[in-house]
Amino acid sequence: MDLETDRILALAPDPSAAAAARKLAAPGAWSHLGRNAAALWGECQGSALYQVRVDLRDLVAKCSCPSHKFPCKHGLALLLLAARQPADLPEQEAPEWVSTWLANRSAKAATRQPTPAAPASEEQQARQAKRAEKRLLLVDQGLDSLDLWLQDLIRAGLAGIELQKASFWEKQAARLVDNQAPGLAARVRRLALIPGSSPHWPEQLLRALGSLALLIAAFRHLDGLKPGLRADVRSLIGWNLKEEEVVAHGDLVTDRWLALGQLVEDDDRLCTQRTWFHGTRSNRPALVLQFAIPGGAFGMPLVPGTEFDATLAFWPGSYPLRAFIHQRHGPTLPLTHRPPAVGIAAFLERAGQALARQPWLDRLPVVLADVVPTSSDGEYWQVVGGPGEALPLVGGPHWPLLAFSGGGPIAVVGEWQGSAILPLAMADATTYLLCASAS
Amino acid sequence: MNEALVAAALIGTSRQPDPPWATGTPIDDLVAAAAGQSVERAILLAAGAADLYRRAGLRPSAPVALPPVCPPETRPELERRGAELLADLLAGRQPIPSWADLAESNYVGLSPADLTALLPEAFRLVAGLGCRLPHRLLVQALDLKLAAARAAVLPVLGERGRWLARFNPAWRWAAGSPTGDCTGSLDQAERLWQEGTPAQRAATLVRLRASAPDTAREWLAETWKGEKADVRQEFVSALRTNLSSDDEPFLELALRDRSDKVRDCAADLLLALPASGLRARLCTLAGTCLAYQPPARGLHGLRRKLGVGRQHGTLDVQLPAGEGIDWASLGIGKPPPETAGQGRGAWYLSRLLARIPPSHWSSRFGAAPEDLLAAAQAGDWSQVLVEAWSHAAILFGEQAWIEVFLRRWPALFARNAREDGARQVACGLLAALPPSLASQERGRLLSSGDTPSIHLAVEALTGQDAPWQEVESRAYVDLVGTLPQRIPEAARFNGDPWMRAIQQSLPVAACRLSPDSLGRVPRRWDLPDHLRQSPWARALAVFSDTVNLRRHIRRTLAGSGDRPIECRD
Repeated sequence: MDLETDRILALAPDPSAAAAARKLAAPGAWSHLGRNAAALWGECQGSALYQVRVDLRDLVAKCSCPSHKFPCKHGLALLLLAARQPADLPEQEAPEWVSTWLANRSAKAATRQPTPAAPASEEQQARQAKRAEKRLLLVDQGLDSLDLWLQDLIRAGLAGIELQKASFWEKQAARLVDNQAPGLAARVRRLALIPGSSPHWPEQLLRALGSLALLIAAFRHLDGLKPGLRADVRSLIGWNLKEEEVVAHGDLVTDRWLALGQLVEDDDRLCTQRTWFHGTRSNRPALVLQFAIPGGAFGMPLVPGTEFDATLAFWPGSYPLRAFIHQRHGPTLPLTHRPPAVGIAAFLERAGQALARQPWLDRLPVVLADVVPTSSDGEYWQVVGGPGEALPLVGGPHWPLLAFSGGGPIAVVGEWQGSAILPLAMADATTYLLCASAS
Repeated sequence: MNEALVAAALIGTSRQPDPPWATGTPIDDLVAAAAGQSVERAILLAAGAADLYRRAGLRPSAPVALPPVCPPETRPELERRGAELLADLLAGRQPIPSWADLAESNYVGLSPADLTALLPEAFRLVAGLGCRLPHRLLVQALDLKLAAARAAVLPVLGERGRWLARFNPAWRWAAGSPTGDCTGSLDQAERLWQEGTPAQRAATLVRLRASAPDTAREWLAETWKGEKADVRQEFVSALRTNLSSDDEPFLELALRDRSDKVRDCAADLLLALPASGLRARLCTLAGTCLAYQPPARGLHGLRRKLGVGRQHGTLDVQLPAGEGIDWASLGIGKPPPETAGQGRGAWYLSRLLARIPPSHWSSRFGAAPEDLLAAAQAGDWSQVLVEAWSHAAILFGEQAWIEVFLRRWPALFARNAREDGARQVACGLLAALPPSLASQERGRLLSSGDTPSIHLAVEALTGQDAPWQEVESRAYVDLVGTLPQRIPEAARFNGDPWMRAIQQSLPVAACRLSPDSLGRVPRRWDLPDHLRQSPWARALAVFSDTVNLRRHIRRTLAGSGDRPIECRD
């Protein structure tokens, strides 16, 4: 346990919990502190005496206080205390209330293992098949109407479309939701943001519309596609897999996973947290998506700048990227391994190959070696590799990158968004530093 | 993307049927096969496919210019614990109380402003260690806005910080000497003087005065008539640098300026020249207004020694006539219209006396400041004389006179003005003393037990920017320590003005008390019952916790005590 304060506090569900935890991280408030290889524990005097324990495998805390926040301030404070004053938590045998909890968690995790579902009865199978057929029919109709709508747009011309009200896009999106194609509906909603957003919006809109048209065309030829791409197209249109289906159909990869970086996207209805991983032995990238209502917590804590042994389950696809953490095999540790880094040309080559396999892929993790961050005016930012070789950065200004590099080459970790990089972290031989906006 | 394709989509096929959509690539055949009869669908598919091909074959962008490489650091980096502490303070977060002294505090929670106020001291400690800030704190350090924090952080920015500051206009204050302006040649200075903004021109003038005062004055004289009034005022003030009697003819010219602000400015500078004609003219005129009779000798002198009869000399005052005197040549304007008769004369006299060094009178009349003040107080024009002389003592920084004024404060002013007016003058007197003397005076006033004096010292201390000296810090801490006993039940919410002044001074004091006095501040307060629910409880707790945090900062960054600090290479 040698996580930095910032990384621990990043687990807090909100700033007030973080501030409260900082106050409580003084030994005076605690009694019966202890630790072993699996857990930390202690009793904290609040309005009552609370029993606080942390599972070191996934940093999940459990506390007897009545707070609805997760993790609560007591759990965070215990982690802070352990990080800053390890001597105050002597190594010892866990008390019963800790060991029982750990045992219960392990048991629960075991029951979450995919137990081969009891073979469905013939009647059930028939019902399932009928439901699937009905949905297919609905989606088919939805795609027909979307196809017509797209053609109408081109017939009427895109000029002037920036004057359309939001309902113009929303109506089409709602129709797709009704036709059980939520993936397409989300894409149509995003179209509404393009008109008028930049001088190049007509071209951007036409690209996005073209990409939708390609998706419709792909669905029309679903049976001719390879199984991976078929899974991609179905998922893009809106067929969601349950976690047990992911385990059943996708890859299970056991590895040391490095949490390279994280970012949260806020929309009115939903917060999406993307955490990018790299597997050291499999050399595979992975993306863990977590969702929360605005202001809520993201469930399992994932701390960027850490690493742990785990089995990840990948959604099936032609370029499997999205995964969830199926099983943890060890404690969360500070990041000591480094992901392999490549040059700009090699990365673009790799991104091109990924697109060749999954044409709708819009994000990839990127780790560039020996690049110099630079900006002409504090607004347009780039990383420069070799002579004549640069890639634009978004999400600036990136002063921290410049401060870190000092004009020399560094490694930049980021999210490739199709034509530019959103930096998530920077590294040199000794340091791995998260970008403030992405931690 | 193919422009024809975008144009076709913008115009719409209803207006332009059958537009050319072909890309001239193998995409075209695929699109034709997939689109069926619909030209709209063909346009969409061609656009989608062309974009996919473009993305898959993306080439690197052309690089913009690379930054120059930062020179290597010459100081070691501050180690981790110190860096974490600074990171917290920079972010306005309360540091985690890992050490006993914080765990034992009141723990009221300090505001971000309370916390950032401690940054200058922390930066100075880092500088004292010979360390620099870690690179990851530089952006926050350069974003600092307060002048005190900026000044203190400059020495610990390191090579990287100064290098980084060059790239962001908002950080120019830290980028080292603004190249091209200050170290530039005379040619560059002249170009700036002729073409620059008013602020640049004023700065150029000040810099040039430092090296070539005559040239600067000649430049100014050349363009003088064409400048605007507020610009003229600023330029005249620039002459304060390296002021000499050579500047007198020009300043006499400015004394006749159209703008009264320029005239005031020129008068101030002429007064600062000991041998200026203005001083001589003022003294000549004032000499006709004041005459001093020392206390009588002989029999009267004997009675005086015995302590009976008249103890002091007399001052005869002749009010100057308003008319027939060229007041403008004395740098004195017109009295406000509502003053008339004797009031006008008194107004002119006070302006006159305020512009003459008080020592002029001590030597002219051969009398000590005490005697002259006593005589003035006994006469009819006491208020005018005391106020004018105190202003003059402040203006010319005459220590002997200031000390006499302060020793007889507040009795000297009590008759003349409301208490806060008197306090304002006394604050001015204190500020005009040499710093160490002023500290001693403030310490003496704080320990005097006399509430108007305490009020004065507290106001003087909070009104100045410098860290407090040991003597005044100790006196202040001792005073605050007695407060819980001194504040009666009736005053717990809304005490006397002097109590309120102390309460308001506590946050400032917590940041400025001298390091050696911190140990005398209680870590927490055991207040009498009647104060526990009063505003004093919180004010004192915040005061103590700020001091507790300062002790923590000093221990973490000073290397003394139980956790020696090291810098990291």
